[in-house]
Order: sequence, then structure tokens, then C-alpha cells
Amino acid sequence: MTDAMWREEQALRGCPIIAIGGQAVEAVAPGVKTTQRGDGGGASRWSVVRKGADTVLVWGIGAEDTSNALRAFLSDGLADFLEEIWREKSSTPAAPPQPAVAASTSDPDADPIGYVAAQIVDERHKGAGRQARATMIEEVALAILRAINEGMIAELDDAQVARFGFFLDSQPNDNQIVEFMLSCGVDAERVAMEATARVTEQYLRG
Amino acid sequence: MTESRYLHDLKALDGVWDLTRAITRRTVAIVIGGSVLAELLDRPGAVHLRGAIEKRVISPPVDAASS
Repeated sequence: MTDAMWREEQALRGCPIIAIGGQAVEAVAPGVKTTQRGDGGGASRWSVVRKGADTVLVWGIGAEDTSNALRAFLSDGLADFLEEIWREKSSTPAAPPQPAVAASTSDPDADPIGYVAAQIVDERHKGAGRQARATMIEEVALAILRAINEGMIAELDDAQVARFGFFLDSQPNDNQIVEFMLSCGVDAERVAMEATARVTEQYLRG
Repeated sequence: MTESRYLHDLKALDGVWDLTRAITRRTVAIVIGGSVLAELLDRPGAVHLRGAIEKRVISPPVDAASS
């Protein structure tokens, strides 16, 4: 995408970034081009700079230099970068305990599920909350799939299957989650709730 | 762009137009400049990079996994 698209699209704010070329690098990390040199070295015509935990800046003096920088990053750096950011995202710790819903959700020992749920729905904890919700939804979706395969619940109809498709690999919003749960019927909802509880316990232990 | 990813994105986004449905824990934003020159000179490299990243995604989209 272009730097303008990246600036405007709020949904991408939590995503790791690889910026390619001077214009993109300047948009993502203003000033870095004039203050930092990366793998290319001082005399080199290109740089690959890691900025923070989740951003890589790739640029060169000319377009061919940028291409050389990208080639270098592809052969040495990309694999480690992806491994780091994906490991980080799968082990994001819980957000600080600032539950925003009912009072009963403020005590993780008394109500662990409610406690995590409060964090998940609290927009102030988007980082850990989004991660936890994605993990839970993935588990819920898999549990429903297992339930279907094992004949515990009836097969989903085409519309339900279509909605189910993106659950394993996306982060549906709250309305989509609720809609999906309801569309699967009571038994599926029970399976989903059991899976949610199990994941929540693992999340708290982890 | 891999075919499986395209089909997954098509299913998730077509008619809904909600980008969050296609964003996963493994999504990486590849940003290039918005000028015509950047489109001509940097986008090919960005497309190549996207292909390299998609190859490293361990779990394929559900539509690819089930086919």
C-alpha cells in the first residue's frame, strides 16, 4: 500500500511495518533517513534499519539501491523479523488490570473469565485485548468445527459456513462474534463457551 | 500474491468492505511511496516481499487448508 493509505487506515495501526523506498520510510519514520544507517554501512548506497520492535525501513539512494537493500533484507533479516513479531504477537502479556465493565470483573481470582472479558472489551487495552480475543475466537471456531466433525451439532448451512471461513484467520469484531455464536445454535454456543473458558484459564495461567 | 490468500481475502471482504476481517495476527503492512515513480520502481519489490512473507505463514487460510 502507499504511505497515504497506511496513514489513513486505522485498522493497520497495530500491524508490523516494512517500509520500502525513501518516501515510505520518511512517512513511517520521519528523520530516520538523515540520522541512521543500517546494514549497508556508512559508505553504502543503501540501508536496512530496524526501528523499534515491529518496523523495518528499507531504502537506498536510487531505486536500484533500494532494490539491493530489499534483496539483502530478504536473504538476511526477513526470516528473523517475522519470527520475532509473530512470536511476540502470540505471547503478548495481559494488559494492566483496569477493567472497565462490571465491578465483579475487577478481581481475577474471584471471576477470571469476567476479568479477561473485561479487558478484551475494553478499548483502552487494544494490544493485549485484541490478542486475547483473537486467541479465544480461534479456539472457539476450532471447537465448533470439532463439534461439527464429531456430530455433536448439526452441520452449518452455507451462510454459516461462509461466515465461519474467516474466523480461523481473522479478528472479527464483537458484533460478528455474537452473530456467529447465535447462528450456530444453542449446542454450538455451549461448546463455544466451554472453549472460551478453557482458553481464558490458559491465558490467565500463561 | 498467492491464490489461496486472494480467495480468503475475497471471501472475507467482498460485499462487506471491512478491512479488519482480513487482518490477522500475522499481517504485515508493506508501505511504499504514493508517487508514480514509487509505483513503478518500488512496487515490484514490495510484491516480491509479500510473496516471501506469505510463504512463511505457517498456517494457511482455512480455504487453502481444506482444499
